[in-house]
Amino acid sequence: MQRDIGRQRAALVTGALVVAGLAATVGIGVAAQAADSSSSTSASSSSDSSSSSSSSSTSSSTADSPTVSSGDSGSSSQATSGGS
Amino acid sequence: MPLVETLPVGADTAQWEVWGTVARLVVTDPAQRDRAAGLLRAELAAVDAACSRFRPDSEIRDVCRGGGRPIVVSSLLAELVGAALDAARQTGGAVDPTIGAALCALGYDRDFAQLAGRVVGTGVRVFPAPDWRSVRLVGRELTVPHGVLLDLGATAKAVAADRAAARIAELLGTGVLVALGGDIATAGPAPDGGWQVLVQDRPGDPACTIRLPAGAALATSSTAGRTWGRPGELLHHIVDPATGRPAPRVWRTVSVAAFSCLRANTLSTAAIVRGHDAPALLGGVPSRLVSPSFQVVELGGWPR
Repeated sequence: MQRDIGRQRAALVTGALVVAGLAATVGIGVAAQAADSSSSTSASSSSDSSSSSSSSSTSSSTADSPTVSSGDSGSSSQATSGGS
Repeated sequence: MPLVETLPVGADTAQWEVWGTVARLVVTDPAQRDRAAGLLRAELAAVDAACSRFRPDSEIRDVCRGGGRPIVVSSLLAELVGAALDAARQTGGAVDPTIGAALCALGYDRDFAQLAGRVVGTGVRVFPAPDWRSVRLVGRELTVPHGVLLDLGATAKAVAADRAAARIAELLGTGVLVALGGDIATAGPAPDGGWQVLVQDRPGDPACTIRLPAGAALATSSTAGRTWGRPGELLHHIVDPATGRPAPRVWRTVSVAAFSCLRANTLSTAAIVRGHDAPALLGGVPSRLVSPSFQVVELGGWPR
């Protein structure tokens, strides 16, 4: 009888340790995820130049773009835009 | 030879070689040309000292030698790195400043003026291949992982054009156009009818002439320019960060207009990298894409 009670207690203690171990693992994972998020956020949010390029390329539209018109090919251009 | 050198240089224009291409300055007040040129030269020198990956004494080389430790950098380098990280975030990593080691592995390890005609041997090169999210910038504190070499070439030239144009217009009160190779920024009042720009990559390529309103910018990215040889293949400088290799030549040239040269350059570079997905990326932005067979696609109100 005493031996059975001892086995049950040992099983309970083992179970508790397993649960505690899992919780710790999950905690570490969450902390790592948070650290990653913090790192990438700080990398992209601390730019001084964000104001000049705030819109996402995936939502580009004419609303945040200049109106470009045809030039006069007969007169000289002020500059060339070619690949460099 | 860069195509821009064929344009006339009048009393309102200054032009010189820099960074393996040509810097061209045009002002609406010719009396301010020389002072404006001085400001532009100073800006280019400052950007070069901050972020050239070809100069052993540049600030960014010091950071990359830092062994992954956080380093407080100048406000200029912080701005340049911040712009590169913004470009990476906006393009989902298509424009990524951590490709420096990949470019070196391809042989692009010196100023392009010294690279032309150089033959680079093939071989397996092993180098770190992180992405932009591994770089940490908080204020002016920059941390670059050990072994990572930053290349800001895709965005720093555009930022330099934006900064120089804004500073010249502000200090001298003149309208100004700054062109650094394919990257054009304007500030202050424009000439009557706007800034007239010839859009053409190489001689013989399809060409068009457009007018930019005051404050607009234009950037052109090309897989035909800045090429160098290697046995069996011709390489170009726009690297797909996902592969560490030059992006496939789906497009020969992409030109984009925006309200900043940084924005225009970010989109034109990303369009080259994205290849067939470029039209979806560009959406309603005024842009012009030229295929390797010289087919022209105009988007977002680009004039026909």
